[in-house]
Amino acid sequence: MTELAWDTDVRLAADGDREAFARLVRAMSGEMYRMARTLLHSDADCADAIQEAILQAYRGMGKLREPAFFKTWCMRILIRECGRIKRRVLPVALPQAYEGEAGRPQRMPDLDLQAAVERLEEPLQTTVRLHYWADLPLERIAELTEVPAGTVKSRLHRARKQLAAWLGEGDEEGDVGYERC
Amino acid sequence: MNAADMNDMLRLAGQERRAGAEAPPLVLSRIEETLQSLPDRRGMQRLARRRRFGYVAASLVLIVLALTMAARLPWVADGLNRLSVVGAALRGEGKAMSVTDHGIKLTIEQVKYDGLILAVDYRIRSQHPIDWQTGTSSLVMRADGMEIISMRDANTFFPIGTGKLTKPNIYEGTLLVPMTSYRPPEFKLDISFTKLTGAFGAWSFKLPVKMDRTASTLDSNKRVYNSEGLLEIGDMTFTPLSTRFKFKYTFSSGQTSPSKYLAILQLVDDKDRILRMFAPISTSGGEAAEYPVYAQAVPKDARQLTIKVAYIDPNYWKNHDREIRTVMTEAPTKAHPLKLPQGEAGYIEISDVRYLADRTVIRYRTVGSNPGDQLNFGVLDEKGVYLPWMPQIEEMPGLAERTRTLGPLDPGAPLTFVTQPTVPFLYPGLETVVDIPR
Repeated sequence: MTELAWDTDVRLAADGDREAFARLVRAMSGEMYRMARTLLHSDADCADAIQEAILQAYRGMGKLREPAFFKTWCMRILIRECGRIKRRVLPVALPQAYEGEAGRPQRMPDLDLQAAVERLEEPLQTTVRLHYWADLPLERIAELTEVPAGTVKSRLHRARKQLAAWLGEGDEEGDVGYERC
Repeated sequence: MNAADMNDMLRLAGQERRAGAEAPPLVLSRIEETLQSLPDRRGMQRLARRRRFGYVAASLVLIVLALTMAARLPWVADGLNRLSVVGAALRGEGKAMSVTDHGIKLTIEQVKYDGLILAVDYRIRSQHPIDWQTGTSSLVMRADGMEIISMRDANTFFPIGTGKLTKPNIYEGTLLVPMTSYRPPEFKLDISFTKLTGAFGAWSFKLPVKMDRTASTLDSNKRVYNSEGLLEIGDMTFTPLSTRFKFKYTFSSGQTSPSKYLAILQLVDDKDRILRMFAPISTSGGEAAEYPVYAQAVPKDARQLTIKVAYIDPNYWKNHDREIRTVMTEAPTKAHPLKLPQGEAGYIEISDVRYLADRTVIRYRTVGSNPGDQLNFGVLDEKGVYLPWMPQIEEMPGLAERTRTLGPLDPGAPLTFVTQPTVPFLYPGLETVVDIPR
């Protein structure tokens, strides 16, 4: 879809044109799925989140002021909806064996990275997922999560530090950022 | 482990996750369903404005009421004890709920919704025997304030769905509503009867409905073809309430002229029962397109489903709009059944008419190519007036023997059966069998 056609459809959709809205969603469906898949565990949950995001976006289209922000706005709704679904699902618990004697974490080099990411608290977990799983640059994550880029950077830093503590011998070394901006 | 290791590990894990991340059919079909069920937003906004106004007005009334009542607490308790619930609206929380008006108690037993079909199980208990011959009903159902069914002046005992009298004063049935234009994942359902079994009153229910996602998906993707055409079947979804899939049919330059015939699908289970379609789809010659099929759920004991292409002549009815009357001159038996002709489609065989004290039971079966439409026939009394059928749970169409029931009749009274010419099905030999996932 060309930029002009996209802009036209966003304006038509904001004016209540269902077909235009449907064209926009179809054009974004792949991206929406990849985003949902980044944040959720099953395709069924992804379908639920996307469906709810589509309905919320449709209901709120009249409030959208700037057509250029349509996609970002939809993705924000989707991320929020994924978060809601994730809270509804029980968190994945790490096996007891990962806790060392006296509650001290033991070195577990084979600990599944994904399980460790699951264990991260919010908003660190979503930030890691968006940056590494969805391959989004810092600025885009900042836009989607409505926080400054510096905050995204520090969240990633804290997340890596925590993951390194769980998966490795010690803390993340130094303050060097490894994110693409 | 240092930061660089962690960064690399995360990047690698991300690459693996992203590989082949194409939206699967489950997600794509849900997106399409959602887009097809979007309501009219202008209507929604009007409704929201009305609701806001309603909430504000109701809040003001409540505040005034609370202030008034607070000053007179003993009176409040006394007054509340004396309130009666007649024709009141109830709010549902998933349990059975009832409203009684004019001595008729309507109970909503269960509401099921699979994203397409809304099924409401209910029971009517009356103080008096239910008059199923003249007792008509009037009903409106809304989802999120939008009308999904409106049968305000229905001239039938029940406007939609199926049910039966379990006792002379108790009727149990199911309202079945295909939600073809508005299909949200959850919604507020309003059911409002203003007439029930012939009595005017108010039986209203408001209850939340949530989609039951219990479903089995079959990655069928079948293609069958011969010289007549090509049938393509997409992924099939089976829920406790419906069977859904998409199909595409392309006419070939075979023996049958695509300009004269429409192609339709017939779904038959392994016990020769035919699934009813909620919205039958036909396709003609020209550019083939993909169409959705919405049919009833497959019975629990069915193991396989045969999907058949059938051709019909859409102009058949133009030349065959007439009644065929057959007078019963002697009691039919299995060995000597009474044949009711139905034109080119076939005929009905009446094998028994049993006169009981409270009902008359007619046993019959259809013979011919179109068992679904061939089930229809009527019975006239000696004055030429149609006798009403007693309500009964609708059986699935098929070739098996079945019964229909009239009220009590005098065994000596003459009966006249009425049928119509019925469009015949031509089968071009294109069919495919799928195993139903359980």
